[in-house]
Amino acid sequence: MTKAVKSKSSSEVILKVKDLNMHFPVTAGILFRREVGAVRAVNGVSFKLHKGEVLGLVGESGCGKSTTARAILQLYNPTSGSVKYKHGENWTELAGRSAGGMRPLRKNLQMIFQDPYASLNPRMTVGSIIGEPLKIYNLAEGDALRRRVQDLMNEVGLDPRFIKRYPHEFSGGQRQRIGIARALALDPDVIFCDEPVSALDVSIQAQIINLLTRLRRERQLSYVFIAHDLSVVRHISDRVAVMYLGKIVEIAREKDLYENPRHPYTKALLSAIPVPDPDIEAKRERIILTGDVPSPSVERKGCDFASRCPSVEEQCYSEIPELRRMETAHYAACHLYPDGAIMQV
Amino acid sequence: MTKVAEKPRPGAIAQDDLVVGSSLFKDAMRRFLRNRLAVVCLVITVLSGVICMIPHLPGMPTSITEAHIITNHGQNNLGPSSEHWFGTDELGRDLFARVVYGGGISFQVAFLGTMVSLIIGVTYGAFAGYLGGRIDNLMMRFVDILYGLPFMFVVILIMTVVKKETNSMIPIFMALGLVQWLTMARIARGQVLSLREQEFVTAARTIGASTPRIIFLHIIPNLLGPIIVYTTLTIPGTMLQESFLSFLGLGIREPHCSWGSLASQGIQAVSPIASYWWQVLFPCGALALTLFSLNFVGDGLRDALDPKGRQ
Repeated sequence: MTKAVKSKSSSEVILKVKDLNMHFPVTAGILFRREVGAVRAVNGVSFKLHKGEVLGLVGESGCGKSTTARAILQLYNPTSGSVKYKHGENWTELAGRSAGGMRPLRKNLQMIFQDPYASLNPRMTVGSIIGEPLKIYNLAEGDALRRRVQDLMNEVGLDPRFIKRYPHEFSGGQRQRIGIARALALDPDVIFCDEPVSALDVSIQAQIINLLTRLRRERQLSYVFIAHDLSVVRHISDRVAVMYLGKIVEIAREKDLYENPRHPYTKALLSAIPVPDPDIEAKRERIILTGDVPSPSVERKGCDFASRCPSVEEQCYSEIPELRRMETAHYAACHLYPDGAIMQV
Repeated sequence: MTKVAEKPRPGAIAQDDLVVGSSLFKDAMRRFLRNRLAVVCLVITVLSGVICMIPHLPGMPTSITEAHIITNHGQNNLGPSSEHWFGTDELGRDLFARVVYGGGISFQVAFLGTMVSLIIGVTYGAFAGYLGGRIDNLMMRFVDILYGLPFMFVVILIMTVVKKETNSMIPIFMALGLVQWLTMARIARGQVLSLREQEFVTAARTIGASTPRIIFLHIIPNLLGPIIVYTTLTIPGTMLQESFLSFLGLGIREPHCSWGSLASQGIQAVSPIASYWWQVLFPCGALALTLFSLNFVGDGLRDALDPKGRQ
């Protein structure tokens, strides 16, 4: 994998997420269910996405990365918060829209899924899978539709003669390309990549990453790239956000975050990346976190990371830290850095 | 499949140059055809079905449609001969004609009863599964309550209530269908519950597909496999229940007959003095052969549609 050529993303913001909450109710009772609590899968996430930018979203399993993406796309109905998308010149609010109200906007916001085996309907041919979005929006029919689909297949590196084949006749990498072609069919501005390579072999991962990088350059796409593999995220992202228990704890430009992490959780996470040199690896000091991730269904008064933090203080148990400015475009939510300005979206 | 090895060429692609894939259904058909026992059983089922339906077809001469009620005077309780292949019954009616006619009734009841349960069950189950939550909960508890009622009691109740006015076969279709849709509803609901959480359904939502589109294009086609298998296994079950009811005298009434009522009459004709074995053997043999074949066809379809479930 060569270092991706990062096109300079413009400063124009096209997506603003503010205080997004996605709480799943926990119910009890057989016939008459009552709410007994909530799993706070996404708990106050805020960020901005610029045009043509790749924002990496990392964190361990279950920290709410995928749920964030799905709540933004209104695949779940977010509990509260606002998601604004710049539609032409105007800002459009996505949160709280009905399925019908979202339809015209779905063209611009697309998603690539984690599991290339589960994300394609096994009863449909490749042609009808990739062509389905075009059909739904009445963008092409008959021969024109077939040509559009075959152009898309060419673009993602699939043999266009396979248009009449079924998903089970392809390998994992090829199937992921089908998923990418489907997402591209409507010519979107933003693509949410939900761990698009974590189900693939390492060699295939590189191919898919390179494909995504090329498509982004050619089509000026913005990605929200979700992954738990820190090296993959560093390779593709312009900015990286670190999530812990439904919150963004640190967000910064890729270089700043990896070379100068501020939040203790980010530091611990980065120290887990193995170094491909046995001598350095042997001497390297790792930050080992003790304990488990606390339950997302318990509401805490303080910092969610306090129970595992190596530099925990009294204040951490009583006060929720806010994302504060460290340096240009670098924000962290930790009481160790109380001086910066609070991040505004 | 030599075309696969060629390198992709950009630009226009001729239609005949396309590599046509094989759908899951085509694969299943190929696996089914390789199962020799299932294919033989399918042929037997279709053949016996076609033969049995001949007297029931519209536009047939009365010599065929009413052969089963023609009484031949002085020829009662004759054994099989070249004139009466399966012998005659105590009224001198030709047993071959009666077995064929009765088979037609048994097939109709089995297919229509299964169709009733298929339509009610799949609709109800898919509805419950897709809506989920409280509605699903209430709908399925209703099914559980019906499950709890004794099957025979329900059937006898329906038969006695409806039968007084009509002499058609509609009450027995209804009775069997109304009881058998319960399992069908559970199967359909279970399938829909797992299907609607699949990523391809989420993917369909992200590309803006409407709910009817998701149900008809994404969920129902994936539901078909288990439903087809369960349907083919329900048909012999329904046929057996119809025969059982007719055997008890609750099902088909004279002058109509089915395999069950023929067997019942044959058993009644057995006495210490003379056993008219053909009156029991031929209807029971025809029923057993058909049930056996239908079950093997169902098993073959299950293996073909779900190759992982084998062994």
